[in-house]
Amino acid sequence: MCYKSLLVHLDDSERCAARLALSLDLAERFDAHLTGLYVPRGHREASEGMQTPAARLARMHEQFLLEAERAGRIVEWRAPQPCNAAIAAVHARHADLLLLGQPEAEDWVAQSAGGFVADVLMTAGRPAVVVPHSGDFTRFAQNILVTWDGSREAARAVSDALGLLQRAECVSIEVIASHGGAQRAHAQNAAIDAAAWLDLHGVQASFHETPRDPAVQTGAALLSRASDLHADLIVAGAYAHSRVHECVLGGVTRTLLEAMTVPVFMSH
Amino acid sequence: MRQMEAGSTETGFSLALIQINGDREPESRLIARHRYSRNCGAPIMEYRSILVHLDGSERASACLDLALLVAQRHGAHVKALFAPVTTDHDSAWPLAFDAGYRVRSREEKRRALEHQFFNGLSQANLKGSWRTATDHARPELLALSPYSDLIVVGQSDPNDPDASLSNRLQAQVTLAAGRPVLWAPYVGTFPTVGERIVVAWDAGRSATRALYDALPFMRLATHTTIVTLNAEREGRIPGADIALVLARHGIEVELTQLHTPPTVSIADALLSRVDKLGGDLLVMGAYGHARWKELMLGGVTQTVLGAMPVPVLMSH
Repeated sequence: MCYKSLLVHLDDSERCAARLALSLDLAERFDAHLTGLYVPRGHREASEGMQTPAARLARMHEQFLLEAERAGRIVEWRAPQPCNAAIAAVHARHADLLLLGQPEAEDWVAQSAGGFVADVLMTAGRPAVVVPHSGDFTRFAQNILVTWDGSREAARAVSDALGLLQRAECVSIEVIASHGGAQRAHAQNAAIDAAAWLDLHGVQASFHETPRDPAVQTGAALLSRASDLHADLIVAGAYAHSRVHECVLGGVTRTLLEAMTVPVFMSH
Repeated sequence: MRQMEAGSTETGFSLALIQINGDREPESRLIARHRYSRNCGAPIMEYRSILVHLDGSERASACLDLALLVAQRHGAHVKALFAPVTTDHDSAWPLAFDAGYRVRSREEKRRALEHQFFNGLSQANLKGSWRTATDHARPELLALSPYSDLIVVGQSDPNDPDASLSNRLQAQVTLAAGRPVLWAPYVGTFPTVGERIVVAWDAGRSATRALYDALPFMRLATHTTIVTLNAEREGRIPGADIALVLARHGIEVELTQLHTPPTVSIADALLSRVDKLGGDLLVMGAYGHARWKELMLGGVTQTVLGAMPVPVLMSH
């Protein structure tokens, strides 16, 4: 699978530059068309101080075109007015892959369910790479960690990520399962089946299962495993539980979105 | 008939808009074409693993044939799951008839299908595996579905006691598997599938999923038409954006609009359009709603599945 239409979410934050750089890199890799969708974060207006929304839009537009010209890519700028998550989702449906920014701490306060990223993931029906707040991504998607729990969301994410998986140097499948006999055997089988399925798609993957530690959240265990392996991308299904459940009880998706240190490929 | 070239910001694309007004239903056709199409580098997603569900009904054999046909076209691995549907009258059998007869008749069906499966595999030079369910059909299907790129199921014949009542099992799998599901109609034969594709497009989430999931079919098709359903005209051609997205994948599509008067149901208009276009595969999103915590299909989806003349690819 190759991605031919990419869409990057642009706003007024400083991290936009890193996201834009990564999206231009991906566009180059897949020879893809890149669309920049400008949707500012509503509640940040006060902190931006002097500039009017129109001025910020113009600044971002200029920066976007300049970066694209430097990279030598054909790009398209879209700034729908007014814009909310529903309109953004319609734009997102016309892209093979989305690039979104990690929700910031204040977003969790403003909208506890994950805000824009979660809305787009849930309603667009397209996969997204969520780019963390910090770090730079000179190596991206060379060493991929696939989190597998046999759910439909995991299957969706892996199937949507095939384009990246096929080009990666190293792919590892990670299953988190209980110590107990039957469940452990089941987890092992799930990992083997997933590896066999990926093999049919021309992806050679190793698999590994981590015993579930009651004291450690699954999401945290996955993140520590990713850092052990020096993974530069995590592929995960998003919101296998309902959003309300994630919001109240926490969950893998929320932990990943809150604490990610490497980009996460998500699909619902 | 009027033809015009619409401008595009991208180089290498041509968009031709053809307005046809002579017809009874006004329609416009847009053909988006990439000048360097078929030169796309790595192929788009492909079907490498196909799961086919075989129940104990009479149409299971036709369903298997369809799965093998698709597998041959895409060079896919085939997993056949023989899982008879547990029907309500199962419990009544031991009382009314010889229970052993039912077991024996299922065993005969299984043997015949297994023979047909391996025979078909060797004839088409394909690889595959056979599994006889030990559990109910639904959990068995959902356990295998994450490792499949396409699931083939058969539409229930309302007159067949061995088929799932009113497509309940197939609908649940369509909504819960998260994979594209190809439904084989219970009447007719299908010499070709996916040569002339009709995509029902409403820019919704499920339609988007279905469209992307059908990319492997579109890549091999001779003709793909996207039918936009009651799209509003706001100075732009409905479906033009998605046609461009597909054109970037090297897929040429034709766009037509479907506007239904209030007296005609969307489902009926869509099916008659499929017939008019000579389609042999309909691609559409499966819309469902939770009713009593049970997965049920929405109205249009339900109607299309009730009266489908050609195989239907659905995603949720």
